[in-house]
Amino acid sequence: VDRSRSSLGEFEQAVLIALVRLRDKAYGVPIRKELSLRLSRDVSVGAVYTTLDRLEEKGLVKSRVGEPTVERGGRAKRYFEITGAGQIALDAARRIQQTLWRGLRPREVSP
Amino acid sequence: MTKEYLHVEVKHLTRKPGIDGNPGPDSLEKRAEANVRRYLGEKANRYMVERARANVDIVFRLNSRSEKDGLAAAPQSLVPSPRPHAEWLLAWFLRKAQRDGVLGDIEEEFVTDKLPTLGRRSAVLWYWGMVIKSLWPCIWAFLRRALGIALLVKKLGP
Repeated sequence: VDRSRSSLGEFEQAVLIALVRLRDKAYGVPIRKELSLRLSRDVSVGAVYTTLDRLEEKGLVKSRVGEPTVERGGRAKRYFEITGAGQIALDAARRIQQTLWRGLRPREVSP
Repeated sequence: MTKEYLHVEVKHLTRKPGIDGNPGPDSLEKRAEANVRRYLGEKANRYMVERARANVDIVFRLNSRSEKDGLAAAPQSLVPSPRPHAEWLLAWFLRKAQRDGVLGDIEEEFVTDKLPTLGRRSAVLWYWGMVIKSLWPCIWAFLRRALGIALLVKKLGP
């Protein structure tokens, strides 16, 4: 995996983890709710989609168009799924975090 | 389609359900469906018809809520539907695939979550708040794409 393309920002990691949690139910509304819950802040639909599009361009997620529904005004849902490259990038990000934190306790970081 | 439908919506929201000649949900659904078919003819597909019927359901949910709360028949519901304006606004900065996703998600939350819990006025405010909050990341992505294309053209140019 190209390291420059697979390096993840904080929000990108959060989005990928949400996709892993939601599995086959991962489309905009549950992803946004999951992120708002986990990050304890209101996340906009636009922010979610621009991040997902960027991750798709990097090859870390793939999307498919679902059935249009009445509640969505006849618009189709777009389901997202993490790819193999996405899982590798997420694992790498977790390993980096663990390496950085190794040997430190949260109390030692606080002022 | 929008104008025809909004006419039906506004007309019946000014009346209390079951009186003033309000024909009831079944007739309203049929009238909305007929309006869509009359306006679009053969072009009216299943989703357009279902959308019109769903909107009639929303009108009746709002009316029932007002009746239960002992209020007059929801004058605040005369606030025009925000959807066409939001669609126009977001269409400037979003690709077609993104537009369906973003607007569909906002509309789904508006209809299934915010409208029944907040009432129409607050739900419309929430809708516009979400559209405006969603605009900035979309504008930023649009500018990045445009800048990328401009740089590429400059690089390839004479």
